[in-house]
Amino acid sequence: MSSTPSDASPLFALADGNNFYVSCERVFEPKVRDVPVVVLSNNDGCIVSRSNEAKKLGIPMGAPFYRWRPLIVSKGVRVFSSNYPLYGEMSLRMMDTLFSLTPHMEVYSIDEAFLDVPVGPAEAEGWAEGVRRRVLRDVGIPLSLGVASTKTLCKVAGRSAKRDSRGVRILIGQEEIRSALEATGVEELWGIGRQLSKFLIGQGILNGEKLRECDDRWVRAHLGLAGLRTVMELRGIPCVQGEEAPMEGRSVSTSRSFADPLPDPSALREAVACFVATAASKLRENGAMASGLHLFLTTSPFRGDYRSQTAFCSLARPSSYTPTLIGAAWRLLESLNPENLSQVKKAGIILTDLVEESKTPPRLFGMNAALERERGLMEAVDRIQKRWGGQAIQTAAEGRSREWLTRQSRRSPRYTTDWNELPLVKAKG
Amino acid sequence: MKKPKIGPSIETIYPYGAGERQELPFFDAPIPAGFPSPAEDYLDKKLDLNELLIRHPSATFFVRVAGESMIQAGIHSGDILIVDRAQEPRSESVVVAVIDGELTVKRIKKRGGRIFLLPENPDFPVMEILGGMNFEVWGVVTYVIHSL
Repeated sequence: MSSTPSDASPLFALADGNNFYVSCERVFEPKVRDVPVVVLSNNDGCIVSRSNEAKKLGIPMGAPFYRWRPLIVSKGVRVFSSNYPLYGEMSLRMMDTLFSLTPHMEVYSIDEAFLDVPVGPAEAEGWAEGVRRRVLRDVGIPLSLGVASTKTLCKVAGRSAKRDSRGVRILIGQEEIRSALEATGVEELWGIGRQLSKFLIGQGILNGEKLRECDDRWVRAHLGLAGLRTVMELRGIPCVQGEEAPMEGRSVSTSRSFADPLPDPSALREAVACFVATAASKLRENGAMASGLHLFLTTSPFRGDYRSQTAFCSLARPSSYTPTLIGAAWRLLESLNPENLSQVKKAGIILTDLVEESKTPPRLFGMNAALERERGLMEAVDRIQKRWGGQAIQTAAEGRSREWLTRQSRRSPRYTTDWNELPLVKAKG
Repeated sequence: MKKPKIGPSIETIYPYGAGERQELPFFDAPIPAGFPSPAEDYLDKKLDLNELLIRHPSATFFVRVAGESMIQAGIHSGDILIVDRAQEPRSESVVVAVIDGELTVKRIKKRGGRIFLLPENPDFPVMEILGGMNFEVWGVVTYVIHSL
């Protein structure tokens, strides 16, 4: 397995929206383009996106806001609550634009996608610069593009593209790959988790180049098949398969942290029901059903004595019917029976083992009518919500008070998803 | 890119279909047996304003106007503008521009290597873009939505 890829091997590009949430805010509020900016998580708890200026001030990713507030105030950092409707919509625009520039693409996260590079190595740089220009002009989001022969190497290239003023890094020549891997710690490699990197560092394998030189059998024995795939990818042999079957075996999750202590157990029950309803509608939108459900509750991660509780159940039959799923979630909640409700800071559900609805086994005759009724009801609910908003119709289980709902005191307007919150342009001077 | 958990989040993100949403007509006239409706042959898809007004969907944004400086271009305070970022601004284009951090609507005019921003209201001054000014075209205004 020592084959090296020839020049003819196809190339991939990782397109990554720089400081994505901050960049979205800057499109509509140009005033904050030249000042340090941070975006907070839901509930204004943690810092989840930072402008380069904010990074230079030393504000770390994921840091609790309250701890950094003094610096943020004294340095005039602009703070935004997260505005997920805006980021989601801007992400669609970015992905749509990228898709028009490549024959094939995989969306990897809200701000990252792998693109097939439609040109050879000699033209790759020009193509990547064109992609960057186009997305910047059309959508207003600055990208970094890392181009290489495997996705794992694209990630390495993408990291250095972020530091490049042109935002593009082509990682093709053997010599360049070697020096890039030498400069990349194993803990920074895609697919090497925290446990594995600890192990590798303990073995004296500190960077990507060292890992690439490891013996296949040793890698297989200590890092498993997934580790071997990563090593192959570092050698330029594509092994990481695309996720082209979007739903099968995947999961959908919804979670949220709570602003204030929950007033009573019913607030937690309502919150859980809301999470289920959101995730279930996502399932239906994708023609999927879930076979398993996880529930988790956690205390604040920023105080000592951090605890979390989880429970799991498999469903008798795959389902995307909101009431069935809420029932299952509530039974899990009862089984956890959180003793000190005021300490529950975050809760969430994960719908797992998804299957495509069309592939679920047919049921016995008597049950098809019930299934049809469920399906019809959910279709009606989805259409009403799509037309008149999520508040227009819901299950009673979700409650109306939304007491658990979080603070978002600094959210920018929903510029692209609400007619009442369009950006204002001045015609005054 | 490592990301902390943030919620609420849908953690599976699906590729965005390239196809546009299309309104399809709903044809529900009761048809007497053996006597088909003559209109059936003429059934066509409904008119879609998006199709007429938006050439580059992922580059098109709506913004709301505040102020009277473009009134002679038919742009009133409170109107909604359709702004296409994919379109190249030409001289005489009405654009949304960023001037010193503010989004502003103006007519752009290029003359002899100089750039001017013209209001469409005699009460407002012409502005020339000079070096050192923080200026950028944000997008080209293609239509005005004005309620009568």
